Amino acid sequence: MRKLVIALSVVVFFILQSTMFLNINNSMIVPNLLVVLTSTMGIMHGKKTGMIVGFCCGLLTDLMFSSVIGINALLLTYIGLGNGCLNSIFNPEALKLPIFMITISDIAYSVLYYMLLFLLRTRYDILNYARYIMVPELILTVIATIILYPIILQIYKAFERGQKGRRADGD
Amino acid sequence: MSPVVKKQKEKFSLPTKYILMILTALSIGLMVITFTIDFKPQFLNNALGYVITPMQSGLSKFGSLTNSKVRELIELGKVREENELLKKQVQELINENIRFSQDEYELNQLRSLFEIKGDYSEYDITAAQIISKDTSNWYSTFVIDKGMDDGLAVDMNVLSESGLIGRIIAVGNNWAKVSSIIEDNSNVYGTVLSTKDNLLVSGNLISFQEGRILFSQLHDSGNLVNVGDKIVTSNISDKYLPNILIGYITEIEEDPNNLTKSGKIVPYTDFEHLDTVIVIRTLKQQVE
Repeated sequence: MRKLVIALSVVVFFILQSTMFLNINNSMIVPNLLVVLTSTMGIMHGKKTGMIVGFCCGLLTDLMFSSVIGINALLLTYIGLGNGCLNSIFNPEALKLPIFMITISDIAYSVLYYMLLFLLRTRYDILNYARYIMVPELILTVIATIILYPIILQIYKAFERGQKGRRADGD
Repeated sequence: MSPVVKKQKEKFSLPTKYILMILTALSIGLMVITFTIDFKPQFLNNALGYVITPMQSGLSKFGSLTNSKVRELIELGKVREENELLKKQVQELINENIRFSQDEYELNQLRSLFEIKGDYSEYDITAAQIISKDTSNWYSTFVIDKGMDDGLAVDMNVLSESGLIGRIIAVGNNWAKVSSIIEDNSNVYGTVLSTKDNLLVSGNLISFQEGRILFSQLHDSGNLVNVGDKIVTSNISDKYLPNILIGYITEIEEDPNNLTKSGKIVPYTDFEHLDTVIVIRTLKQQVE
């Protein structure tokens, strides 16, 4: 059940990311919801879930849009792993940790993506890329986190309650 | 109970490091494969097309509907004020219009001299709707709602009402992926309409923040090319049909080698507000 909901959330986030901002402005910077999802899943459910969610999000993006298949999958897998390491200090009530981790994750994602797909093609102008792409994306991603995190948290809490209930019944 | 029995009870699961290794190997493997051989996982793409595309299609239609409704509501108050103002302006404009209509005849004649010979109407065209765009902010690939079933194929040119957008780079049964000319890794051969000099038009992410794309490799020893000259696709381009409008020159400067010139172009297509696109179903003739 939990797996099904997580899989569904991957699909929902991917479709949201690829269509919802389409009608606002085609070349406006958009928040990176896939990083938000991967990061929160990593923090809430641990390394394995984070990695698999990241891999699936990345693979979907690559198959639909990317010219090189596997690049987003690789980056998001490691983002999921990195966030999963902090699962042990996760506290559902504190918003600081997810926001901090998503900030770090989005910066890491942007910088690595830039290095792999732009720097290697001799586009050295990192300051301009940071100014026009990375920083606006980061700000919007953090805003998106503040809006979306409570929703993801509610789903997580529902699971926790369900599990506790099952444990009380079964064991 | 012996420890052996307890172990059997536990669910089998791979340790984290093995999952990590498998996923990393899989991603890198796929990257290497797509880089080295022209591997196109058509079956995967088609599966995605059947599952994801209808949802994207529905959602983007819903999105554009709500978007336009919300905009209507917001703008209603503004519209009332504007209406008063506009009524006054109409009277002034009617007077001006009489004056301008005299100039119009002359303008039309001059325009017809400039008109491009190869009209798009001779090609087999079809219209398509954009249903989703690249999830990252780095590229502007987008997906349209027509595919092989509507006779589309890879390398077909995609236009807006005003000019070139790009070309199809992948196609499924009911969708096609379009790469636009403003993308950072896109290069198109163009021609200056007035002098027939060839140049290379390249997309650039940074300069597109100001609505410009770049051009280079223009040989113009006679200094005949000026700011404002129109650029169309070139005959020597191997993917694009000739004489499709790209944009006009806004900046031009000599390269350090004193042989070629480079500068900036404003594309005619409004890439920020793309919605419906036109696909030319005629492919550029290829040398076999």
